[in-house]
Amino acid sequence: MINMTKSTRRRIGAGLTALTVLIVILVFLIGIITNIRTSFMTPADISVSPPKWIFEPTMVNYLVAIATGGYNFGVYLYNSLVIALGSVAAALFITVPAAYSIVRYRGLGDFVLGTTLLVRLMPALSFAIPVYVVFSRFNLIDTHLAIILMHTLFISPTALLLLVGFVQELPKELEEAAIVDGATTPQLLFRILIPTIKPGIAAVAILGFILSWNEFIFAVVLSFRRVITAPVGTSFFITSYAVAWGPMAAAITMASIPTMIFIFVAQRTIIQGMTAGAVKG
Amino acid sequence: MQHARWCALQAFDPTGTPESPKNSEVLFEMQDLSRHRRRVSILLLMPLILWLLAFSLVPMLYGAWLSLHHARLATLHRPSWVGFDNYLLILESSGFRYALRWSLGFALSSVAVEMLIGVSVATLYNRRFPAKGLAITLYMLPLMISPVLMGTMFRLLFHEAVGPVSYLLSGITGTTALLGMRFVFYTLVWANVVNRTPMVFLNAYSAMQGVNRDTLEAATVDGCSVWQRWRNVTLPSIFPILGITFAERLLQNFVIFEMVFALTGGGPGTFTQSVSIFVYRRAFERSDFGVANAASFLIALMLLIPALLLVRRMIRGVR
Repeated sequence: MINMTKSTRRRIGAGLTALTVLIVILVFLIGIITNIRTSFMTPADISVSPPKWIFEPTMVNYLVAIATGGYNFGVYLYNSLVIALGSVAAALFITVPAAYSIVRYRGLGDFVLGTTLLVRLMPALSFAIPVYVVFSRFNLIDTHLAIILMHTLFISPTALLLLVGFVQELPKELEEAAIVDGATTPQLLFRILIPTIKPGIAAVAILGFILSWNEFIFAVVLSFRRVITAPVGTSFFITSYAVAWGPMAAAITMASIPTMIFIFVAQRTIIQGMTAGAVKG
Repeated sequence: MQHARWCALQAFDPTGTPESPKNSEVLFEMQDLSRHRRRVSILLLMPLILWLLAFSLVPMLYGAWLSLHHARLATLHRPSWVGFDNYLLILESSGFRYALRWSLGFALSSVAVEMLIGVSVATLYNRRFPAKGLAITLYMLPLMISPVLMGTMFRLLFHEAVGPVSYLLSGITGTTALLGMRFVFYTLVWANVVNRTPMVFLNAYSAMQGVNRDTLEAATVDGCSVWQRWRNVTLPSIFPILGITFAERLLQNFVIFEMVFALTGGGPGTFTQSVSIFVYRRAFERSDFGVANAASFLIALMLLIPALLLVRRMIRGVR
C-alpha cells in the first residue's frame, strides 16, 4: 500500500469508478435488457417459472407483431414516422423566424418566449381534451394532420429554446454587413441565418423527432384507427384475456430503436438540447 | 436606400441639437426605421403566435367554457349551461381529492429520489474513468424511450407470474405481487425514477462541468477533504441549476400520466389514480367533458404560479 505509486493508485481509482458505473447502468437498464431478451423468446420460455436465463433465440415475435399476428405494428411505425417528420418541419417553420426575432428585436419576443415556455409546463391533458372536442367537430380526429398540429405545439418550446441559444451565438457583425449591403429580411433569413445555424436546426430536428415519436397523450386522444402511432399501438398486445408478451416486447424494441440510435450518433446534440433552459440559467 | 438608412442610424447622435435641420431629418428617418424594425419583428413572430393562439390559448379558453357546461358525448354539440356546478362536484368528490393527495405524494417522493440518485450519479461520473462517453450514452438510454413503452416494459418486469424482477425480489418482499396494493406505489416511483432520473443527471453533470477548476484545485491544495470540496465549492455553484431541475421535475411528476397509465392504469381499482388519470378517465371513459375540463382547469390553475416563476427564471437564464 505504502510503496504504491501515485499513478497506480489513480488507475485503481478509475477502475473502481468504472465498476460502480457499470453496476448503476445495469440497474437502470434492466428493463430494457429484459425487454430485448423477451422479444427473442418463445411464449413457452417466457411463462416458465422460475424464469429461464438461457434460451434459444427466435425471431417469431417480430414476425407476429409486424405481419402474421394481425397487429399491423409496421403501420403504426410508419404513422409515427410521418407524424414525427411533419411535426419537425412545421416546428422549424414557426420557431426559426421567431427565434431570430426574439434575439434581435426583443420587445414582443420576450412575451412570446415566456408563453411558449409556459406551454411546456402546463399539463398536456388540459389542451388535449378541448382540442379533441374541437377537432371532432372539424372531422380532424384520426388524421395525421391532427396529431402533427399538436405535436408541433408540443415540440416548439424545446425548439425555440435551442434556436434562441444558437442565434445568440451568431456574431451581429455578419448581419450588419449584410444589411449595409442592402439585404432584405427574407434574404437575411435564408442566406445568412439558416446556413449559419445549421447545427442548431439539426439539433432541433433530432430532439423534435424524439419528442414527437415518444409522445403519447395527443397521439392516443386524437387517433382512433388509421393513424395509431407506435407508443399507442403497444397497448393492443394487452387484452382482457391475455398479454402477448413476446410480440409486445418485440414491438417495444422496434419502437425504441429509432430514438436509441440517435443517442449513439448525436449524444452531444441531445444533451445540449435536453439541458437547454436549465443549464444556462 | 437601405444603405443610406443604415448609415443614418449609425450616425444618429441623440445628444445632438434637435433644432439642427440635419438631425431632425435623421430623427425622422430613425423613427421610420424603428417602425419598420418593429413590423419585421412581429411578422417574424407571427407563425409561432398564430400557432400558440390556435392550439393552446383557444383550446384552453374553450376548455374553460366547456367546464361551465353539462357536456356529455351525446350533448356535446349543444352543451347546457350549469355555472360552477362541475367545479363544486369536483371539489366535493372524494375521488378527485384522493387523486390530488396521491399525485402530491408521488411527485414529492419521485422528485426526492430522482434528485438524490441523479446528483449522486453525476458526482460519480464527474471524474476520469475508462469508456466514459459510452457510459453516459448508456445511462441516458431510458430517457430516449417513451414513458409509455417504458411503463409497458416494467409491466413485464414486475409481473406477478412472468416478471423476472418480481421473481428475484420475492426473497426480500415475500411476494411476487409488486403491482399489488402493498408495493405498487414503490414500484411506480421506481419505474418513474429509472425513466426520468437521467434528466436530473444530465443537468447536474453539465453544471458540474462548469464548476471552476481553479477553485477546486485551490481547495485541494488547502487540504480540503473530498466532501468539503463537494459541499463548499461544487454544490453552491450547481445549486441554481438544481433548483430549476427540482421545480420542473416536481411539476411534471405531479401531472404524471403515461407511466402510470401504462404500468397500472391507475389500479388496482383507483389506488394509484393520479390527477391526470382521473381527468383522462372522466373525459374518455365516462365521456363527461364538462367535469373533466373543470378538473383539468383546476390543475392548470394550481400549476400556473409555480410555472410562471419557473419560466421567469428560465428566461433570465436565456438572456
